[in-house]
Amino acid sequence: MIRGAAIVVALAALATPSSATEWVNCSDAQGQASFDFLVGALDVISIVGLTISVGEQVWASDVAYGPGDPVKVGQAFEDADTILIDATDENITARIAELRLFKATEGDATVLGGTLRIPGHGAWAVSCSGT
Amino acid sequence: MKTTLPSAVLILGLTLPGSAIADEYACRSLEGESPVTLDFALRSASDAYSVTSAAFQIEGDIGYSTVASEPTALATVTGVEATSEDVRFSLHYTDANYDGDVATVHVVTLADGAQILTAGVLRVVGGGLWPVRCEIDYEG
Repeated sequence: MIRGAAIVVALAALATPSSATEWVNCSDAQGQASFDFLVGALDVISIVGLTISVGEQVWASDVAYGPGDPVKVGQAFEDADTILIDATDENITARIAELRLFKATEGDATVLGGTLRIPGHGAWAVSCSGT
Repeated sequence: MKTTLPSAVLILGLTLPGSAIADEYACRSLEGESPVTLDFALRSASDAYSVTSAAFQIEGDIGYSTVASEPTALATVTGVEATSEDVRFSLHYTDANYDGDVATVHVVTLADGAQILTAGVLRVVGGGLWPVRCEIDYEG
């Protein structure tokens, strides 16, 4: 039995890595900071696009994903238990954000939780949902 | 599943011989009113980590304990896996009557200036999944 009232979100696409294209939206409980990433349709993690926000500051990897300062995926890693993503500026000279997530799966339900650090702005505990 | 998980308050505790002062973690579900109360003390020495005590409750639901007093059920904490680089670690709760973990905690701790943050996920087999955030009381 999976507790329906919990903040359990079906992220089956991430239970088996990147089996479908979808946005994964990560934010803290107060909505102060967010890190959203579009996962490609490969069986390894492939970040197609991302947006990051903290307060009024916004970054986007492409104008197609919204307004914001440019940002790139510096590195991304996924295994059975973790997803680790670092985002950099467009010149790859500074780290914009660090996302460190753990996965827990039971049946078709997966929950993602961990930390988001945006250097110069702060760090937050985040959970993620899929869209 | 070899056994039906008991419907009981979940209290997990493990005391190791010669326990020293440890950092105490108080973890709650990240959003909403938390049905999860997960507390444990983690001691590190020479890159080796051990759980010196733990208390774990799912509100009105299943539970296990290493000190097994009613209404809890017996469990043990095994396999404290940690990496010192970014302080990720996992706790595995096992029951002699059940194959595999009955509950698993994965958390990561990071420092951003003076701010120390620990967060991750809790999985209770047959009980649910929760993203959690932990407050740390450093005593060691």
